Amino acid sequence: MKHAVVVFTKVPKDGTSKSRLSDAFGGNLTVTEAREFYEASLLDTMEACVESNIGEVYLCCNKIGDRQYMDEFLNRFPYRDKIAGVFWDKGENFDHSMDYAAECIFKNGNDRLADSVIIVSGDIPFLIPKHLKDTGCELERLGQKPDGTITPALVESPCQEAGSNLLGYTYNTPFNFGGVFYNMEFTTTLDMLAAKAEKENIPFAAIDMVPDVDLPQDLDATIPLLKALGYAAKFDDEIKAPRRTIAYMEKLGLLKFPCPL
Amino acid sequence: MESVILLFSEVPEPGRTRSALTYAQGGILSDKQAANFYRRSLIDTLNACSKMTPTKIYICCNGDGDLEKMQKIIDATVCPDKIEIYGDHGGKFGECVDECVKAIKDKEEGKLLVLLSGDLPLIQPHIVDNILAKTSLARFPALGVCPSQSGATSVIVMSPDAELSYSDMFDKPNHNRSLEEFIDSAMVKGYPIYLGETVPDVDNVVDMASMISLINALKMAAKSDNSLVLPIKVIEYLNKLGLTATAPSSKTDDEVCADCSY
Repeated sequence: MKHAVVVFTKVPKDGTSKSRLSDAFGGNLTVTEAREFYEASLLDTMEACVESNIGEVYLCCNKIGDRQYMDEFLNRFPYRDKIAGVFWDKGENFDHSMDYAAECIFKNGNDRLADSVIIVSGDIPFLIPKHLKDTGCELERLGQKPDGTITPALVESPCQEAGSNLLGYTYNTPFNFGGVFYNMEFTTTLDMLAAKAEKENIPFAAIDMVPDVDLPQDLDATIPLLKALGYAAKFDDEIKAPRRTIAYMEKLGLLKFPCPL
Repeated sequence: MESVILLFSEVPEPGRTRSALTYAQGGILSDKQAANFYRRSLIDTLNACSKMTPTKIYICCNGDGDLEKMQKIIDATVCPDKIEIYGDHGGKFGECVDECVKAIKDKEEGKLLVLLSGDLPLIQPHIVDNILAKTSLARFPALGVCPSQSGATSVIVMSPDAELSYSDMFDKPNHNRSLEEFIDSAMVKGYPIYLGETVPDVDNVVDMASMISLINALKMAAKSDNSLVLPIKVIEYLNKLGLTATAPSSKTDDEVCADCSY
């Protein structure tokens, strides 16, 4: 099965990147620090995707984002040549933009770029290559027959609060993002994913939880997790330290190791 | 290498157990419901433990609690013969952990210890077995840990020769989150640490709401994977209470909350 990974992100910008971490919304960071924190986590997320080697990596950015800034930002990414393409969404809501990202890969089934798409958000510095490899394995377990025929399958990773930051599915899965992130019933993202899978009888799997960082309490919980990843990466090849996020949190004085790593 | 589980739990008592879920603390359950929820969560956690590699489970609980009640909980599991109660002598949380670890180490010499709590209804046997396997292959002394969703520790694995002071970690004033204290202690001692998957716990209403959605996803996943263990007792109770999770659409739309509709 050929997989494609799409990292879903706004172009980083002061005041719009992780704004809820900023003092303007009761957080502890300035808007510039919030943006810089997001940039570090986005680069770490992209690096985990590339190093997973499970498929080509694309970006899907917001239509109104500053394209020149994004180009400069990507120059800071050592694997820039491994980014297979950048899609610019149509400026619709989150659900529609996610659908658009998948359409860019599947192209309505004709000349598709891959058999499955794995969409990840850019604010998950805890993402490690293993998460993507596990997603690929689960998609192949559920969505590929022994003769190679691709069948419907849906795989997700939950976040810490009933959302999801990673979702993979095969091209012929009867699934779209309608209502997943925005719905009038206030249904959680995870409940909506499970309900859609149940309604369409889609084989479904969940991998390890990958927390995101949206709110000040998430940032607080980031500290021990970053410490754990930073230290555990010394002993286990499957663990990858999000080095940029760790370095930025150290720079802010929010993260201190008791001895050098 | 052989291993045993130490499950830390108070004997469930209304008013003392899962109080952050209760009306008195702005939660959504009565005292009795919160204790009932925890009791069921404990049974589900023990049932999941019964499918893990360790052959013996010690429930480390407050020795002055109602141990007959705890035995009834054990009898309601699928594995009462594998479970033994160790009643501690009281004190601060870290002191109790230190006491239990020392006592079980002496009794089960040379075995790996798996420390966890009773509020992990979503725990899966393969998660603990994986971290146990990694730790057992390490250069000793070595440690393993599965974080909770909020930067705490849900599962700890200790090699037989690992020496940690949980009272130093958890009982000092203004201590950091338990995972941070744990990592710091390991780093200072130079012990290698192996990091496992996240195992969510249920301390407050947001955790509970998240758990409800995670259970719904787990139920779907279990249709295609018969190795997954569903928290049957908790699911029964949620159904009885009629609890569902909601995601309010507001500036805090990344937070979920539980909605009572009974």
